[in-house]
Amino acid sequence: METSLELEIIQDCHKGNFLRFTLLYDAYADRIYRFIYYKTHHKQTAEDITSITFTKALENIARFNAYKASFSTWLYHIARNTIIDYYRTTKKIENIEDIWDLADDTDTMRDADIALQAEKIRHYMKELKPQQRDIIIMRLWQGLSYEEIAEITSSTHNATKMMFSRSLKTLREKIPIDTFMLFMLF
Amino acid sequence: MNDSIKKILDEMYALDASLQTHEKELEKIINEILSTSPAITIDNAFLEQLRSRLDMRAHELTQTSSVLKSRTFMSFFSRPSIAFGIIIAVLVVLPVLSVLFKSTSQQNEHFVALKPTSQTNLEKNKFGSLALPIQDQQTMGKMSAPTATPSYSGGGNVNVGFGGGGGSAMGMIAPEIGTTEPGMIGRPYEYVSYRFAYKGDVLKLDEPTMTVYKKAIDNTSAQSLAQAIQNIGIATFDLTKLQNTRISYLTLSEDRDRGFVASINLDDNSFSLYANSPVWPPLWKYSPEAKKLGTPSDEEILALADSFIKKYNINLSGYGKGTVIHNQNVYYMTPEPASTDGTTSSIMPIMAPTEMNVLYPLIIDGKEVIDQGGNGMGLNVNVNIPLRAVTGMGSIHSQKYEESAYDIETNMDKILSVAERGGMYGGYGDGGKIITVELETPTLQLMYYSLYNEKEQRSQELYIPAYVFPIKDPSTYLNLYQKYIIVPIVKEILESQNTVPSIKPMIY
Repeated sequence: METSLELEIIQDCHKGNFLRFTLLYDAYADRIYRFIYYKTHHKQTAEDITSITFTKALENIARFNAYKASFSTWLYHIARNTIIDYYRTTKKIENIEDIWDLADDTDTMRDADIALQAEKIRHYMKELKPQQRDIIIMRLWQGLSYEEIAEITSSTHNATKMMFSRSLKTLREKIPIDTFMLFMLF
Repeated sequence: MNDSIKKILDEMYALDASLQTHEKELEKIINEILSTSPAITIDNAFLEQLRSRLDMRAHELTQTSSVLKSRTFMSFFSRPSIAFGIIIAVLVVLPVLSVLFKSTSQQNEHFVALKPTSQTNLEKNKFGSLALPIQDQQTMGKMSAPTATPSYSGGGNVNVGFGGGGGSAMGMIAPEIGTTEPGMIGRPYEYVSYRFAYKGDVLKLDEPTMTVYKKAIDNTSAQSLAQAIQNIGIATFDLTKLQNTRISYLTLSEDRDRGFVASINLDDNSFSLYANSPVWPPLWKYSPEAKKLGTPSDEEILALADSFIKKYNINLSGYGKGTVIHNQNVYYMTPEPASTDGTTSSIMPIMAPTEMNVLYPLIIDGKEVIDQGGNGMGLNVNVNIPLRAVTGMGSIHSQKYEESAYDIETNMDKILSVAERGGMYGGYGDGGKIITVELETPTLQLMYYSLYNEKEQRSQELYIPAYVFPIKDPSTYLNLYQKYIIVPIVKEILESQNTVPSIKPMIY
């Protein structure tokens, strides 16, 4: 969505006219849902959290300062925090950011097919910090550019690129080559 | 190594050249992560339901905001003369409302009913150019296209794009699950592109022009009301100093059990009704008794809506018979709270419909009006399911229209070529697997078309003739959420779309 249009809609909301908020929803619903799904691996959970994310955004948009951060940044922050709240509330475990932090045998809902897929790279994702995982997900699965990721994570283009590079370097160093080869056989 | 992985690695080497010695390992890691990317199919019904719910809440918030503003305004009134002024204001407003609420058995010169107010010799192109300026067409190409949304303010005449039934023709396409295909970032799924083929009857249009309708704006009541209020002196501000004023919105709240908030728009003589939430029980909550009753049948829902219309004596001249709309169901989701003794945590409830809509379609000149997505437009009545009660209605408006004749496209090949491409801003891009979808014989209807005029700083609400091509068996196609392809037949609109680049879907 054009930045000027986004700003206009947000200004309308600040004036008490929320009727065009659904245009923002149309622009970001798909992307936010996918991001949430990548971090929850469960369709119903992703739908619930997507609903809460946009509801929170609508209820609080009058307080959002569009000159300090972009709307997409804000939306991603809400989504990430809602995911964290969800797991910490339902699992009552501290230091849980998303499904990747949970052990395989933890009683939590996962879609069967994604659970199988996720197993193949769980050993990668567990080695990374949550922010590194998010950058990997956004860069490789969502195909976002470093500029877009930087905006979402309130960082710079170069810092984002650096973090991505270091994340892959970490994985290479922590997972021995023979494990790779063994893994590749399957 | 595919190009996308090479690009990622080159970017890394630019930061740290020593990584090149580990290229094979890095390539394996990236490949592995890319190939395990989950194939996500988003449930469009969920997206639409959430959109409806957000839209409703947006209306509530907007109403609340305008009520607060009117209360703030009213708090300035402290003199006894104010009561007299308000009485004058009400007397001015009542005639506006009475037009909307007369008995259906009475003829009313304000209403068009099934035939337009006639002008024997229609003026041509009275509303100006209906085509979009180039920069706005390109801007529109980047926006999603919601159904029946007011236009936004921007350069020149601006409109929300056409795409066909159900939503946007771009940005929401979820490709089918399939094999890995090389691409920019190593897409792990197969891209699907739809093409349309017309298989209906031979089409023919004999008239070179057709009528375009424009909702007439009558500000006389608004201006009269403003003048009445203006003569009231208030403690801190001399309203008589304001010039050329008019009142745009009025909100009335009923403070009774299950009362309503009535929103009157004096700019376009329209009227909407919403539940005054503080005096209603929770609208989203199913009581044990309501759970036992379950979801009512369409007949029951229609009966509730019809009964409400009759009770409030709403004039439905110009509207057709009501039908229950199933794709507009609203679902609320309120977590059941955690127990206070900590034995159970907060849980999400099973989703159940809390609201269903009944649409009374707007009819102009014997034709049903649709929005740019092919959905019916008209008077919507919201029926709350847990409470088995009507909780909202919107919006009914005075049906005064101006008319003008515009040239239409009579070359059917041109019309069909637009239809077969997916409509005005349709098109699914190139490449990938191509699936051909059949289009059936169209109907000629009137499509809502909102055009912002920068000079006047307001939108013109127009109704233009358009062909509506039904898609045959749309539900058999995995990611095709459209039910119709809409092609407006006003010549300059069709000609202006030839300059719009074809839309590339956004792939994630």
